[in-house]
Order: sequence, then C-alpha cells, then structure tokens
Amino acid sequence: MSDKTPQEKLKEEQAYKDHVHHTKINAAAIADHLLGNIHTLHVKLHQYHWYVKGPHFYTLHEKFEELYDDNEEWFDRLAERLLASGYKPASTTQELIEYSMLSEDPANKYLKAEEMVDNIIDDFRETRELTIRAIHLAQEEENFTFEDTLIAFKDDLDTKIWMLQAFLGKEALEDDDYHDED
Amino acid sequence: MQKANIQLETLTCPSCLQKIENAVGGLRGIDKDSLKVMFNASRVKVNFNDEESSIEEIEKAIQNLGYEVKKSRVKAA
Repeated sequence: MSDKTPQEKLKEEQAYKDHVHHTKINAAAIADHLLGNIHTLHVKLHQYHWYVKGPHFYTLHEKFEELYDDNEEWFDRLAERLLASGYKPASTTQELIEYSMLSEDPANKYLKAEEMVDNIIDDFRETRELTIRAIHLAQEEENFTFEDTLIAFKDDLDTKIWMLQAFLGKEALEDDDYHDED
Repeated sequence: MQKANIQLETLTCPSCLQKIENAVGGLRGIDKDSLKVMFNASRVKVNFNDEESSIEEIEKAIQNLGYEVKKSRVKAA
C-alpha cells in the first residue's frame, strides 16, 4: 500500500488526466465531459420543470421531471461503469462544471415552452455527439462493457430526441446540424 | 450573409471545440447563433456578413489556435 496523502494522489491523477486529454484522448476522458453535460442538464431540466408556462404546462412540467430522473440514473450508471473499468470519473461540482460543454442561463427561465424543448434537444444532440466518439474509442480500447453502456446511453438519447422533436412537429433528424451536410 | 463550411484536421479533445467556438464567435460580422463546431466531423459551420468579415479572417482565427484548416466552402446563405 502506498502512504501518499489524498492530495498527492489527486495530483498524480490530475497529471495523468491532463496528459490523456491533450495527447491521446480515451473513452474515459470523453466520459468526464459526458458527466459534466449530465450535471448541467440536471440543473437545467429542473429550471425548465419549475418555470415552464403556458398551455403545455402540465405535460412539460411532468416530462422535464421524467427527463431529470432518467438523466440522474445515467449519471450514476456511467460513473459506476467507469469505476468498474478502473477509471476515476470526475466527482466534484467544480470538475463537472469545467468538463461540461453545455451552457445555462438564468434568463432561460423566461423562454417559451417550445424554446425550452428546443434547447434541451440541442443539449441532447451535443451530448450524443460526444457519446458517439466515446463509443468508437471504447471499441478501439476493447472496453466492450463500457462501449455497451455508452451505446445504451446513445439509444436512450436517440429516442428522447425523436420524441421531443415530434412534440415540436418535426422529424427526428430535422434541423440537426450534425446530420446536415451543408 | 455567407455560409461557411470549414473542414479541420481531426479534433481530438472536446475542449478544442470550445476554443474554436470562442475564437470564431469573437470575430466581427459573425452570426453567433449559426456557429457550430462539430466534434466528430471536425467541421465548423458559421454564417457571416461578408462586408464585415471574410473566410480568410475566420480561417486565420482557427489557424492561430494551432488547428489546420483542410478546406472550406462558402456560399450565399
């Protein structure tokens, strides 16, 4: 057993993560960004759950709650899968904020109900984009169980995006910059 | 308004994406809402006002960060 202090261990871990992020990225490093996104979505889905207004209130108030519950489950499931593979997922608010690729805004509480849905679709798509890369990397690394969890996460995002798009009267891939070649 | 589609070398880390977004988003004449950096495709899509900015200026902002621009297309938006 090593007799390093928690601070010394953290320093080693950070140096290692920094190295991975800036040399050869791996699936676990992308997953820290996924956890960051999920963390931002946790807060944002609550914001929309609380502040949504208009004739869709009852539907969306309930839907956003369902979405943050599912989101919460993925947070734990992905992190535990990482731990089981021997990685150290981000575990403080500060780290999660730094890793998050999504933005939030107190002014968003005043958005129209449809704009809130549209914004969540954007965030899910951005998260899916990172997930796709993580799937490829997990495959290369032959971390098949993690790949499997990531594919299940993507599957869930695909379904949620399709349904939210349908709510807005759109096709699943409509207005999706990631799919549009132009 | 012009619509630019810029192909970059493969982006490895998600934080590259944010750096590019900030650099291009900070230029004059950029339609920020249209700006999208696509991680897996390693592409930048952005609309810009060609009286205030140019594709060369956008490319330069990206290259200054150390990313190679492979090719770019511009058409009327």
